[in-house]
Amino acid sequence: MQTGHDVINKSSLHIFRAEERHRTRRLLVISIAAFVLLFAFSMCLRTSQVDLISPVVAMQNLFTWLKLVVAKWLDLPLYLESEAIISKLPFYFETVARFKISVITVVSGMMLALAGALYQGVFRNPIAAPTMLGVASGIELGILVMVLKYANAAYSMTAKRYRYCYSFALVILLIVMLTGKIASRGKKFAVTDMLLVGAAISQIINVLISYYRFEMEDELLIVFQEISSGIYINIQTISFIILGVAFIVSVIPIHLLRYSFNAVCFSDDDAFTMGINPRIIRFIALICGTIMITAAMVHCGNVGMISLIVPHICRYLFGSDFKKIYYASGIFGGMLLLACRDISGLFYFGYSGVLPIGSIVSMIAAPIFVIVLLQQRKGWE
Amino acid sequence: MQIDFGEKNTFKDEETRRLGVSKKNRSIVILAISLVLVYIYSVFFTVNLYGNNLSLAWYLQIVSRKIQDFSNFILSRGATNGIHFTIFRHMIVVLVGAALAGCGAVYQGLFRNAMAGPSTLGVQAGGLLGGMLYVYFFTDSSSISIKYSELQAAYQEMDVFHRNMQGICILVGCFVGIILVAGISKMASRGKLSTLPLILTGFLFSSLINSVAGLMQYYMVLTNPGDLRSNAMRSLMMGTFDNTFTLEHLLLVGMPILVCLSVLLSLRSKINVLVFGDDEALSMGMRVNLFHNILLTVCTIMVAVTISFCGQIGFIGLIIPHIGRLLVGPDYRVLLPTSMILGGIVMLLVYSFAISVGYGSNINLATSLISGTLFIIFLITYRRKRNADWA
Amino acid sequence: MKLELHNVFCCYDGYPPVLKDVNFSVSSGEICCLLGPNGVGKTTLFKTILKLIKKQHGEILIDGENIDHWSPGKMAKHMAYVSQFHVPPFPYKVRDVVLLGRINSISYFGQPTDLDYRIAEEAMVDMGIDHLHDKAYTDISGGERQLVMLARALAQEPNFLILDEPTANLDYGNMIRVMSKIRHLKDKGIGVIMTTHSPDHAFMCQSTVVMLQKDEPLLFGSCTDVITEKNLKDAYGISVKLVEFFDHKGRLMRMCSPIID
Repeated sequence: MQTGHDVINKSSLHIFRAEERHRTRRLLVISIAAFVLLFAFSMCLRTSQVDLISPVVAMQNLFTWLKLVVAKWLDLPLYLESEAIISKLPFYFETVARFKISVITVVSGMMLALAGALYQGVFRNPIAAPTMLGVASGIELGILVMVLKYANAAYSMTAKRYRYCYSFALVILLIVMLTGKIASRGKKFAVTDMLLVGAAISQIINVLISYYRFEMEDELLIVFQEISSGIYINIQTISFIILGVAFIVSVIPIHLLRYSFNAVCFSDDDAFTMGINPRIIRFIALICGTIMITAAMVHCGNVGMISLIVPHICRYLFGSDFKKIYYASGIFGGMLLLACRDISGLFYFGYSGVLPIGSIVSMIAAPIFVIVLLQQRKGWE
Repeated sequence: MQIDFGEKNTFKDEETRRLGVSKKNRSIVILAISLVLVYIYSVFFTVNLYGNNLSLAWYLQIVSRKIQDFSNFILSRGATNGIHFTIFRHMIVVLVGAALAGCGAVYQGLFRNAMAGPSTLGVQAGGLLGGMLYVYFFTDSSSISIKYSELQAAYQEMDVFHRNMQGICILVGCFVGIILVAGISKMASRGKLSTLPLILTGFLFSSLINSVAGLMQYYMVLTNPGDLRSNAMRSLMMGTFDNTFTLEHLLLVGMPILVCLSVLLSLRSKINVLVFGDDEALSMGMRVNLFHNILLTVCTIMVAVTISFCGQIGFIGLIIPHIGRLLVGPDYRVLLPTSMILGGIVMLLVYSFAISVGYGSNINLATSLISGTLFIIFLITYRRKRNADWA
Repeated sequence: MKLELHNVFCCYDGYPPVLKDVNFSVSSGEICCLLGPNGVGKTTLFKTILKLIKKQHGEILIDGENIDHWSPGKMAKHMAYVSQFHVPPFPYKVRDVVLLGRINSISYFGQPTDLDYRIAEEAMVDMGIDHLHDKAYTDISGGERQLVMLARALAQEPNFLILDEPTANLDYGNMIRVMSKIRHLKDKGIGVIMTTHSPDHAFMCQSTVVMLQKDEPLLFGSCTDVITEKNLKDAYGISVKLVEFFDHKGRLMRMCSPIID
């Protein structure tokens, strides 16, 4: 408490503020550098073997690819010789596919982490990840229905996959939130109830899914597993377009509101008396968060655990201010998912596949989740 | 014991107390009678409706044939149309239901949490993981065979060595599961077991197991389509009574379950004391840790037995004690036997329902859908009353 | 600036009114203590004033203007609220918490400017918590937390400050420190309305007093008028002796001393 001796005057507070800003910037620059390095490294990894491509070759391949794409757009004569150019380059197709997959992975990772940060913030609960509220099982259910209906064709129907996954995820989320609201007698925004109901509903859906997994024919099972656990990532142009649209639509509001999300961290009453309507904020956050997580999981499979842990890592490094969490979780989410993708590429099972990215994510995430659970300062409820 | 730990935890008039207990005893008797009735009903009347046209004549014909089979079986001691298999199988159904419900009641009391149960505490998930890992890594298609019984239904049999080893793995898995889930959530909630960490850890654990199972299936299909190991995994994950119907099975399942159930029943007044908290029990001169460990071990063994013979059967252990509590109140001296009988009844009904709609080999689907919905309703009512965490 | 309540009836949705016919007023630079037994509806009254729950009847005026149709933003310009104890789930830094008080003038899409930082820092210095600025809000003591919340409310630059039991759960020393800070607010020209369980606090701040009683009209007046042995007996059902004495500077002090039989 105040003793009169250790009162720091205003100017020294000012210095502190500047110092902190400087520190945050430095951390951000370091993380971005690490991110770029990781991305470059993953460009050099080969897809089907534990082997590295020389960075120079990788750069050359990517540069050529870029050149060809531009040439195709502008209808330059270079495009006509493309086959001849490509045939001279080693690992050309591999590098390009790797690049596309990496881009999708990074964007999905960013969206997942951001969605996690949003949910945790507006629910005021460190474990209120979208996965916990039933969104993930809704998406899996969507993929299941789609595979049962379209079989092999489900691989390439990105747009349709979106439609199915979004509708199922939204329905499940609505059910969870409504039941949670009933459970809490509509008195307050009861996150705990929603988490409980979400876990219960997810478990029921899981049983349903595993039943169909056993009932399905072998070919369908392979399709379902490859899509839902992220073994297969669609790199057609259409998936880039849809992912890009989802990313832009959901990130812009969050970017604009990035400071205001702090206001709901205490309680609804506090936010109201500070002149912010928490309901608007929460509504936007839920909509954007759900768009983000569903888009990411449609592309990368069941990697929802990223959204649970990345915000905690960022909070540990950058503090609790949502503005910082917003930037940091974007970077770290992309980085972590890309790293998981790279690691999963190193394992081989069966003869076709890699270890799915989802299992690497859960392997990394489970211990971190336990630590988060154990470190709760506040008791539960 | 001088103190009545019944509904109100007050010193009641001795006479009304005795009256209350006798009233509750009466409800146990009624339940037991209804168990017998339901048993007879499901043995004789449960017919596979799947793909048949429903008419009273057809129905009566089936029933009369079954009764005929039964009388033949009694008179000649010879197997006819496998009616004896139906009898044994339904006994196993009753035992498994009783075991799961009893376990659920004991877990809820010991952890003082209304949402504890074999499915939420990670016991079933852990056992499942143990069993599946064993099946995937240590068996091959040759040790599993698909046969046809006299009931004209396919069943799956594992050779004796592998069955025993799988059982051991399941047991170890059960213990690992409960230690992990209950331990972590207990640490997270600082001593007392709170609902939220419990449910979430259990949920994460079981979804982990789900994804592991999916992966194994995927690689099995990729490397060796038509692998019978997939079948073994299915009966673990989806829960089935198809593989247990002979007298030998009945003895194998029944003996350990009956022993464990009688241990639980003989300790039921001790559970009553434990429900009110370890400190209180300790101050009454009970060896709390000893009883805790005995009860937990017994329950977990029982769950392991059910998993290794009939696979995972979810939510029954969680829901039945609540229904029992509605019927006879929270006194464990009455609640425990009530839960067990109720568990038997409900399991029989669910099983009959499942086979009549053609899902007889996926019991877990039926129980999860039915009791899962019930579970959510209970969750809501409990949360509304705001006493989700006892004590 | 003057905050007036005319014939206000307040209740939670669908329940019968907790408080009937509330009339009182507070001007800036004045402290008003709300006294009353538990469950009489002090927090309900606060929430009604802040429009967190709908009032059933009556008018709340600020400078003669009815606040019924004011937006949250306009409300926040005039009134700040410090609720009873709570801890955010995430370890926010103290200065971030105080800076949050500025969010009303920042608006939804904005970012805090240098001016906002300066106002927040001034509020921290005012409350004597600037040495805590780098600590996590979850790590500091209860008394310090209360001061942080006061600083946050101050950073909002309100005309009226509404404090819900600012001294609950504080030890004796912290309680007195928080009270002295509240008295300091009065000198800054802010009108303070607070609930408290101790009539001594009203004497300490020389405040006006609103005494709420169950099933009886409230009493409103200066502390010396309202806090009498008879009124305390009526409100709380206990016997209290009022003591008057002079402090070492020769000022007249009053205190309540309960009489236990």
